[in-house]
Amino acid sequence: MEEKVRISPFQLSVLTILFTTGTTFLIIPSTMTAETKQDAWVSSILGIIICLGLSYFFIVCGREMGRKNYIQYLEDVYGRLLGKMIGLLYVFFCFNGTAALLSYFGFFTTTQMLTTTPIEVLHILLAILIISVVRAGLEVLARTGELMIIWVFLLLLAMIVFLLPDIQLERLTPSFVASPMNHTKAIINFVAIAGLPLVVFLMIIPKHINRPDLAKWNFIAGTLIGTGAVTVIIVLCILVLGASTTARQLYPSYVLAKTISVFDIIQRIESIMAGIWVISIFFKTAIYFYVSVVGFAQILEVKNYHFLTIPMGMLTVIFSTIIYPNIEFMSHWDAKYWPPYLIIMGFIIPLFTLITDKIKKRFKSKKASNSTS
Amino acid sequence: MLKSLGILLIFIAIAIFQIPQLAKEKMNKEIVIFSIFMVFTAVIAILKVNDVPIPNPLELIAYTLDPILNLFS
Repeated sequence: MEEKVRISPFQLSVLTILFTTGTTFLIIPSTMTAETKQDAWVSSILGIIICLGLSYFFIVCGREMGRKNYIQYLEDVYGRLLGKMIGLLYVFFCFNGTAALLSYFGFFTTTQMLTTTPIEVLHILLAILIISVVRAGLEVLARTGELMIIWVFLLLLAMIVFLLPDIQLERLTPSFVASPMNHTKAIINFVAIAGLPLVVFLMIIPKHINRPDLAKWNFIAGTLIGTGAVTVIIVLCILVLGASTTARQLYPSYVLAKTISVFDIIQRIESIMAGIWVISIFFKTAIYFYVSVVGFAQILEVKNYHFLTIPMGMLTVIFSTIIYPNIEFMSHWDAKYWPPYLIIMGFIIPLFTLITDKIKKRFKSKKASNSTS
Repeated sequence: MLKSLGILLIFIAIAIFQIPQLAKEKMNKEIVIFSIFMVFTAVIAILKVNDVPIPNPLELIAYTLDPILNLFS
């Protein structure tokens, strides 16, 4: 399957920002503050550093891949059969990710805004959007991202400015009391939700970038801005709501938007603020879905991926209600299995592939030099 | 029964929309893959609307990860 889609490095960083902020905005403040209380900002800053290291690692992987995408590269390194099997693991991961994100969107909307709407309707609405955008191609998705990111940042800025009067600095005290163990747990959560899923970008960089030489800094800058925005939200949650209230909420940043009250005139603007989450969840879901469809088309070795979008999208809609039967299961699974799963998929397999490839290349060059001498 | 029929109708409509596009470009392998995929999805959808329990893929991941997690605990 050969595709001639190229996006610019700037569009790559826009997609990275929207991808890292995706669901992270909604759920991470409570998981972080549950572990490290008012010191959550320290662990999130440490988490940013690890995320930057990870994005550099993915760039290094991308450099080794040349003009192939990740699944072609896996087939190259491990041989056809084993490569395809590992590729299927990634397709399975991205498929689950899409269904889980649809589910997140459904739970968020049905618990907070449209309480009487059946959840399947919301899944189908978002799924129709992502099917049409993925059918249109990566370029369309990237250009939509360029348009939408302005709104995300305007709304985020508005939220920060409107919340300034409510900030109480003493909520940060006593500082630096969390134990290293709690910090480690919080950092692992942060990296598993914000940093490690970036592995799916290996399907986009460097194959679909028109200037691969510039992709490196744009990707790292995108990660920095995305995780930085998440840190700002965490700090705001602690400063306005307090650590223990944040930890008790399911969607603390939504509660944060509810508390906005400027001179008793600008109030209850959380539905507008929900635009931030809906837009970023849409992009995260679309990227996951794009990767799962393109990866599957790659494994089947078909001419293009467009015809797979509708059946795969419908399968995702069906599985979005099965994958998380209720919110209890969701929080249990995400806390217990998501971090180790992502460490294996996002770090151990790419690292192992990189090392195997290096050894193979060295072996080959040695053989070549032996035969010429 | 009515629900299953409705789902079948939706899937047939999608197939009528998609298969001519593929046939025009003479992608026979793709038509076969598309048909298998659609039949599979339709079966799952019909099972789902008739409340037949479908295995959860996350349970599968949890099942494979459990031995690894037990090593560290």
